[in-house]
Amino acid sequence: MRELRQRFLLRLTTFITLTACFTLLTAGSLGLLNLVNVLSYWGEEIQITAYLSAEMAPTQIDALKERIKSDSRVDKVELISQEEALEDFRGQMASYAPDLAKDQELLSLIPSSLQISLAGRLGEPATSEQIEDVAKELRGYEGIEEVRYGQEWVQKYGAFLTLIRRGLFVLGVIVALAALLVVGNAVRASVESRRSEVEVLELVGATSWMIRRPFLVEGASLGFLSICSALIVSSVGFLFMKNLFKTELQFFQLSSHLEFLGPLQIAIFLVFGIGMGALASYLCVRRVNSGFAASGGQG
Amino acid sequence: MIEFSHVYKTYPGPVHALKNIDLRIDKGEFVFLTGPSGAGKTTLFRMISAFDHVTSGQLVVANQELTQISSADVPAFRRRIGVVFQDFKLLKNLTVFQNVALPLKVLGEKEQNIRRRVPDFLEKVGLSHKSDQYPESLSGGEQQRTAIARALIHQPGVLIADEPTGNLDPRLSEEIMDLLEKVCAQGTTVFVATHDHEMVKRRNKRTVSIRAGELEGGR
Repeated sequence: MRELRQRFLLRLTTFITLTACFTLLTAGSLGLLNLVNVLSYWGEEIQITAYLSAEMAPTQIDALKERIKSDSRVDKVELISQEEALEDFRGQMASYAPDLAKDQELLSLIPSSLQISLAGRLGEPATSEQIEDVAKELRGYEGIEEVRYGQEWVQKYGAFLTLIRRGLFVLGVIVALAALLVVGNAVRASVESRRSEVEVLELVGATSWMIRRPFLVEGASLGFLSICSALIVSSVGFLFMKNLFKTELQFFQLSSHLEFLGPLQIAIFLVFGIGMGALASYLCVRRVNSGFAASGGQG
Repeated sequence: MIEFSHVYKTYPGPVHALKNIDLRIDKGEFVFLTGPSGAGKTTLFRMISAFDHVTSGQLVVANQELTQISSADVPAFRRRIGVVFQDFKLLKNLTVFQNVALPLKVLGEKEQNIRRRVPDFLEKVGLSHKSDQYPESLSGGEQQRTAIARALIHQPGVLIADEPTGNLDPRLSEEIMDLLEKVCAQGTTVFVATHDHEMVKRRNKRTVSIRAGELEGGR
């Protein structure tokens, strides 16, 4: 009875530890996936915002648009009129600062602007130089009061993402090693507790596969249950975060861009979990049936 | 059926566990192996059951040359012999029936064949009425008979028994020896290690003595 209780406790501890390790991995992957999504959302197009002077007439604005569009580095130019900018501002502020949304003095300060998209992709080194060059030129154009672009921090964010990816890879290696150790420990204990059974099986001529199979199944099952639990824990965490972005952090407008792991990624994790469990077991039991059984006689 | 030719077994140290063993046991023979503790009886049996390799010499058991046997072939060889130990080595979580059926399951026998053959063997060893019981509820003699039934269920040509009566009282020891003689009479080669000299004298069978790793009196 005591032995059964000890075995149960060992298995439970192993399961919890393994689930925690795998949760780190799945949560990390989920975080990375959504960071990429957010980055893509925020930096999908490389844009410069050129705020226009209030005195510019519509014809002047059109001429300026055409001039900027003729630049080969520019992909498209879109005018955001003062009215459109005001509507957008009201919409964003309505739930957070409704008074601000009604302040006419403040609203009159919101200018019209040109949204200029460059013909490049985020993360390409040459593009950041282009941004600076184009912004510098734009600042010299008549009618343009201010030029803003947020790509500096978006590209830093890209570098940050690369760092996260590498960190996640290292974490994956550490988790794999931890899984091997933890499952190996549990299987080793299981082999020891079933030593007499293994001895008898060796005695009656059971093949290595017959003897090792139950332990391999044990390890693979442990890996499978742990990775499933980790995915469940991660999904609960994900739903919580998504709800948070929908409610408290609505301002960021990110909730629709958050997504859980796809079927292929889930399948990869399941295979990883089962594989780690089976591999750890195999490493423990590969010496079983190589003279494992010892005769108890006096000789 | 069992043949040792100039067999040596040396462990690191060096420890010479077996020295120049020459021994031949023919098919259907009943042979005792006697000797004091530490003489090499168990080492000899470990060689025969392929749980250890000879250091030099040649060993043939049931037509299998064991000197060069690969680990992949060892399970198949063990399915051709039967081994009985002093401490029975029964599985506590299996019934008598299940323990005896184990070699047949390992061989991949169909369930209906197992259900047919096991009761026959239990009948032979006088344990039909204990079929559904667990080893814990059996006497020492009954446990050993279960172990013998398990060792014979797959009809091996050779049965080796390492101190099979070591944990039994004299009455039960006689029962077990009677059973082993009966098995031998049916054509199985039986090789029994024991340090019970009185029993050996009573049984009047061929006896080989081992002392300090060497056989006394030759083949």
